Amino acid sequence: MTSRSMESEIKELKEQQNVLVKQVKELQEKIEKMEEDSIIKLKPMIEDHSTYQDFYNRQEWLEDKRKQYPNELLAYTKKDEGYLLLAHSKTESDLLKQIDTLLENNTISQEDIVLFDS
Amino acid sequence: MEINFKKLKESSIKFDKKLRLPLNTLTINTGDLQKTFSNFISDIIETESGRKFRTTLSEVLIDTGNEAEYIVVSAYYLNTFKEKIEDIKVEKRMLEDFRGNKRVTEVSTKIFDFRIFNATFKSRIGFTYQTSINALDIINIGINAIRQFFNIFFPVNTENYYYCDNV
Repeated sequence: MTSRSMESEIKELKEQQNVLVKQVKELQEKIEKMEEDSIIKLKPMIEDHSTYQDFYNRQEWLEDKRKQYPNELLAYTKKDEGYLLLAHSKTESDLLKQIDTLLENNTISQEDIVLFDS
Repeated sequence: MEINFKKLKESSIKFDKKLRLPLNTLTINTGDLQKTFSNFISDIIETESGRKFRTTLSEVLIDTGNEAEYIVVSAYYLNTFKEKIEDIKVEKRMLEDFRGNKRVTEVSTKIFDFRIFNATFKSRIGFTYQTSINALDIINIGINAIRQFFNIFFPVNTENYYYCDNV
């Protein structure tokens, strides 16, 4: 191959590279635009935001308890506007024993709703 | 109000292994109404010494570890379901999870119409007698029950990856 033809091939490759760079840039812009659009597309899925806020608050509270008691089962109940941890244990039987004690001591009543997590 | 998913991703808590949703995200079609599962109080649960308490359905879990083609809740809600939704007929089935754990489950003979966000899907509902205590307040949606619209959780051009533990 002569140096002239090599130069011509390099020039051609550079031109191809420029085209590809331009295409990548265009695609990136398209993706960004689609991400922006996805906000609008997903909007109708969520109808009641207060529900999500309550859910988020509960999950945040639970996440904090999970960090305090890693790999443990949790029993809790709703109290006023928040939540109250009733018991935590590594085993179901122990957790139920703790609930039993709380019922025996009238710390909770039969009417209280007990929720669980881990 | 609109949700900016990019912002949400930056500020959200990481819920490892569990894809949970608020309870009233899921509704069931009862003919002319879409009913939520709020105030679904369980039957009485007894401790070993006979003391009694109740729990309630409180959240929805999309469970990729549950390969059932139906929604699963604890059998403690069968009576509540009969009272609030419909006096359904059930048949015994064995539900086996990906770990090979087998659970006796009463599965509705009827296929119900459910709605989650704006998507609808058809599913039976199973009431299982062997539920971990931490799943007593969860509506567990098996992966095959929602395969038909699963792409709503993976919107185009986002980077969401979920793995849900079988509880």
